[in-house]
Amino acid sequence: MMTRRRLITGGLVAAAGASGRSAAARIADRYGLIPPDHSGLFGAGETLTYATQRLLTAHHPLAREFDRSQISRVAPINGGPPENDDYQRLLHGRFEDWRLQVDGLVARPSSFSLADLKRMPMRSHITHQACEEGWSFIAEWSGVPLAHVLNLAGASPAARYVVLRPFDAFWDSIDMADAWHPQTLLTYDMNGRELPTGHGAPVRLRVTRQLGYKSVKYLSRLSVVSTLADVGDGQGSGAVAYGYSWYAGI
Amino acid sequence: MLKSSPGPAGVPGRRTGAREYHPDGQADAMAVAPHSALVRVTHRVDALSFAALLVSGVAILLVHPRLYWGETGAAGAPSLIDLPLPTVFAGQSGWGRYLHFLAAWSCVFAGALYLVAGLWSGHLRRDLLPTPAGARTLAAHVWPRRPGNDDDFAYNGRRAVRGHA
Repeated sequence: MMTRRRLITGGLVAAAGASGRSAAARIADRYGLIPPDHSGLFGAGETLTYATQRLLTAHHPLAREFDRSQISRVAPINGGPPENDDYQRLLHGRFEDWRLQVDGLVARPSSFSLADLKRMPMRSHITHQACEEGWSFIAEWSGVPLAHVLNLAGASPAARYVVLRPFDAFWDSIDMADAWHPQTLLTYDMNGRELPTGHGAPVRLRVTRQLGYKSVKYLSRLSVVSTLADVGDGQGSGAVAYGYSWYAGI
Repeated sequence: MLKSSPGPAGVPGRRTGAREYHPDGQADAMAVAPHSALVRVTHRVDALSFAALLVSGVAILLVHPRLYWGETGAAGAPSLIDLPLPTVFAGQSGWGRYLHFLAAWSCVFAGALYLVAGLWSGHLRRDLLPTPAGARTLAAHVWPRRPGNDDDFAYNGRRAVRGHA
């Protein structure tokens, strides 16, 4: 039976629900809790996972670091290095002419050579690299913290994401929580040796709190942006087109 | 709020999963009140979520059908279990992981709704919490008391003979 009282109560509940939802969406957007792949069939689950993990890790904990004795003897390589001429020419020149471009929302758009990066403060960590498919290895990674390079270039307070452009098609992006994270490195050294070609030479990202595909190899350019909507297809990662989520937190 | 008809607990007509008993002590097998709509809906959402978790979990496993023991594992390193499949189903873990998380969230929400509504309506206390007598019966099954003294259980000559008789 639809009484007047029930009608009024129902209307109030619906109004509160609708305004609550739009308020929640505004708050979530303001605090960066909505991933770029939030639409579609899996968008709700993806948004909940990303927002929850970001709220639970608001104090920016470090990923677990291991002992040197735990470094894996097997460190598989997924796919070969880029075959395009640009990369092959730099590879044959031992990356003498390689430059990392840093642009976008920065006060000083810059470009750094491999030698420049190696002169910057180095950080090493022995951490777990887990592939999305279910295999993993532990290695020692050394490089310059991405935060240091962002500070050198003068990243704007409006920055929300760093877009990672490699020489191959597997471009990606990370939010500022991961970009400023002290374990996030521009890695040029693996297990005490120059980063092997298959592992992303000359420089790959290491983002310790996400699955392996977010640790983009063969880097050539970093762009600091406030929105991913106008970058590529707007999904924040080349992986999304292949069915993989933008956020791959572990 | 969740009662569909008024009346104090125990009055026929309340909608719970509990079996109703006649005052004379005879149980009527037909007088089983149906579960509330909320219990039925959350149960079905949970069942669907479980099916989705299973399907997506299998998809994730088939991409790399090896299970490892320890901190790491990869092709070329020892595995604990290696499923004997003719091929790997590369590329299926993307939607698998998307669906796995979505299904896990719907499980969490349906479960939380069931729990909060069950506490609010008294369903958990009334129908699921054991009565004092039920708790005593349960305790008696979990911690059975030995009757008599220990000699009754002794394996002695008399019992050996009886066992072979």
